Amino acid sequence: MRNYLAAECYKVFHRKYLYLTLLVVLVLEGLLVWGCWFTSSNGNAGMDFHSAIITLVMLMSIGLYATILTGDMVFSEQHKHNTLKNEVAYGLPRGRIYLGKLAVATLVAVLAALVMLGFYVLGCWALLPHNESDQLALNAVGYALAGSLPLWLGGQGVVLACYFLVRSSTMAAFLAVGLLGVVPPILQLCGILIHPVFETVRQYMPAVMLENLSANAFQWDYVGLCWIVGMAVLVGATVVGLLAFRKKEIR
Amino acid sequence: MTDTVLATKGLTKRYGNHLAADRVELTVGKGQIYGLVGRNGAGKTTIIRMVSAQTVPTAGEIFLFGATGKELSRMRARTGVMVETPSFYPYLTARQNLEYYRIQRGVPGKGTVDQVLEEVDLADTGKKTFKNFSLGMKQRLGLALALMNRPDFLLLDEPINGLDPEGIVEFRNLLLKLNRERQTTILISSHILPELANLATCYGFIDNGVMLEQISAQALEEKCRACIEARVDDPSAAALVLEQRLNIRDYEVLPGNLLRLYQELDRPQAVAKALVEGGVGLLSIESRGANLEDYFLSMIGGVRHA
Repeated sequence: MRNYLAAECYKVFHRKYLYLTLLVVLVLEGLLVWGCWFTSSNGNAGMDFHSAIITLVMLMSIGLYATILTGDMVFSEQHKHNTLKNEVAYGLPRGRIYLGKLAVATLVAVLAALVMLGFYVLGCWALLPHNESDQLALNAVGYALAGSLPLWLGGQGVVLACYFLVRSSTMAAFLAVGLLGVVPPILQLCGILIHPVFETVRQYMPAVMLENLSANAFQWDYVGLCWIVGMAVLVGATVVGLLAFRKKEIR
Repeated sequence: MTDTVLATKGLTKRYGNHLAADRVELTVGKGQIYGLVGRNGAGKTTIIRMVSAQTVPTAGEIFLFGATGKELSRMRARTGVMVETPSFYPYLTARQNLEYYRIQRGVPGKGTVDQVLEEVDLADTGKKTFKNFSLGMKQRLGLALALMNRPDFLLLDEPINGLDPEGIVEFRNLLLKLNRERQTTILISSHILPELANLATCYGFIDNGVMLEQISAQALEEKCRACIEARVDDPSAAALVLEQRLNIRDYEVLPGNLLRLYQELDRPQAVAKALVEGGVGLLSIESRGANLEDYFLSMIGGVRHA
């Protein structure tokens, strides 16, 4: 497994995809920080470190969809390039292939998240005025991360299952977006039109839990629930993906 | 089964109503160069894909180096496989692609990649990425991957597609060298039969997913040797005439009143005359010298026309 993980890391870190994606996101973050600094330095007293960081906390749900990119970086359109055959033909167990890619996708996602968060927080710290609510802002980031991380991992599990099981990467990405982002509003509609149980189920969808994270600020029970749901989604998606991949025709 | 590198028992693959491989019994002995012969769609690739775990058999068993079941995965690490078009990451160079697989497979020594690239004449591709390779270069890189772990058994599916004539000769020499120096067993499928005839020590003929015959190159040569084929009304009488009048001893009597003579090859008219004068009804007579292609075509019942 160690060799497999090392090889996947070699592949990801030897292509421009990761670096270009990070560059684009960091440029956008830079623009956001610059905008905050610009309004602050032009007399907007409400714009300080605390308010810029709270904006970040509200953007955490984007991370769920960013897993589509990290999944793509690691899976690397293997169906399109037919490279999976090189792995199975050598006798690598399919379980190792699946779990190895999941582990590296998770690693890349966490690393990228840390770089993006670090860049934004440090940028705000350096450019924006500080006050006594700084500590509260940093606590909010910690809280949001603690709740978001398991939900992102669940999302990563769903995304990777889609990439493994759907031959077209574009279709796989659409399916992932559908499962993560479109199912909740459908459940909401079903909750209104058919039965309230659908609304209850919707409340446990990762996207909805991420949205509700800021409304449940510093409620650690809610963070615990995020971990239970995130891990359940991760394990569930991985089991389904593994079972289907085990007998999948490799071209 | 220790001297058997690959054996399949009743190997079957069904796609819906189509039987791509039908109870295939195949045996590849240690040190052999096994030519799997069949037209496009005959089932050659399906068999190789099942052996190399790319598709799961519907029924039957595969034995690799005597192992089967869960042990197969471990034995596959002793193989090098090249199936259909070689596939690599298009945005990586030849060296990066091989380094990726070297790390993944735990092949020791960073120099391995350079060494194997040298072997297939791709050492100078530099920063050129795989997507910019010619078909011949892609084939060479595929072979480099198959050779990287110094396999005991090479499975090659149509490996000379896309190679230029010079490349084909180099490729053939490389395989012969591997077989001779490293005792690498090779299974090679192709529909370019003259090329296979230059390599194979054993053949398996497959059509419509069915293994028609497995035969050694030596036995095939025997079968294909030059002869005079005469169709007569009474084979026993014809044999007597040929023995008495022309002193022919090296001949075969085949079903369908067919005689195959391996003497007097340059005098078919004398054979015909002797038979007619001996009172034998001669229906046809012709000189023959079959090659691998003729043999295969006769086996599947001739060229099929769409």
